Amino acid sequence: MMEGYDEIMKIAFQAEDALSEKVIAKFGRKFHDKQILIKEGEIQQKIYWITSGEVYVTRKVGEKYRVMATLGKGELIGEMSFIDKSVRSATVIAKGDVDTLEFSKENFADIYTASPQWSRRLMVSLAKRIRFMVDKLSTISG
Amino acid sequence: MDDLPHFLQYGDEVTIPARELIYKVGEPTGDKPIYYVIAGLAKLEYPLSASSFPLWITPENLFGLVEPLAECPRIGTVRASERMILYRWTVENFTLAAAVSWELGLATIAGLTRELRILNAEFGERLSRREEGRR
Repeated sequence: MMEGYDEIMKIAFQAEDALSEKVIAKFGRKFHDKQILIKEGEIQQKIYWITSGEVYVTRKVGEKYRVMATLGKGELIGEMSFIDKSVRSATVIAKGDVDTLEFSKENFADIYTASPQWSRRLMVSLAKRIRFMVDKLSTISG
Repeated sequence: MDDLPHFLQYGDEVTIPARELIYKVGEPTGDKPIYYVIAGLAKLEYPLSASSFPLWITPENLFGLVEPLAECPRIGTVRASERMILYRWTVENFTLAAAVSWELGLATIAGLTRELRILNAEFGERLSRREEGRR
């Protein structure tokens, strides 16, 4: 059996209630202010679940990073590249100290396939981000 | 048409004539807001400032689920470009169908991911054009 499989199944079925010391010791990763979690254009497929703090989702325009969204506790990041196996579409930067659980694509595949609540969580997260992006686009003239 | 996916048993079949409006911006989502395309083509348009952003919806894809999931009125307008055969679900039946069918769950998430990726790319391009226009 894969190392950490019991903890993965706890996360799959209990979500926030699974955040024990053992789970955090195994998958927890801290980021500090302005530290980069994900870089636009990269192909690595780590997925992060934010357990406290906030991150900026940004895109590089010219020499500057433009903020597309701010995501916080309970949000998943990096799931888009997991789903469509494409490159990272944004750079994600810590806004202050951020606690996450960091999953490999194999860990996340186990979580996602074991429990429908993660499928629903992903759908709601993506839908909210689409709504936000449509709002954001409507403020920029084409 | 003989081999329809089994998850469609939770929805109702509807036929929409070509050019008919399916829903428009600002409308409430209604009782059966989520659609799966069996046949035909639809155009989804998001209104932007002084323009709109179109996305085409082809068979074996879903539409209409962003708003019920994000809990808001319709943010886009959808019109049938051709005669369409659709299945439509209530949110509860869609959730049930997606829970029992990993194919539907995955197709839904892949579709939403593709849509968000396209919108993110459009956002980046519009910002770049605006920056270039300022120089």
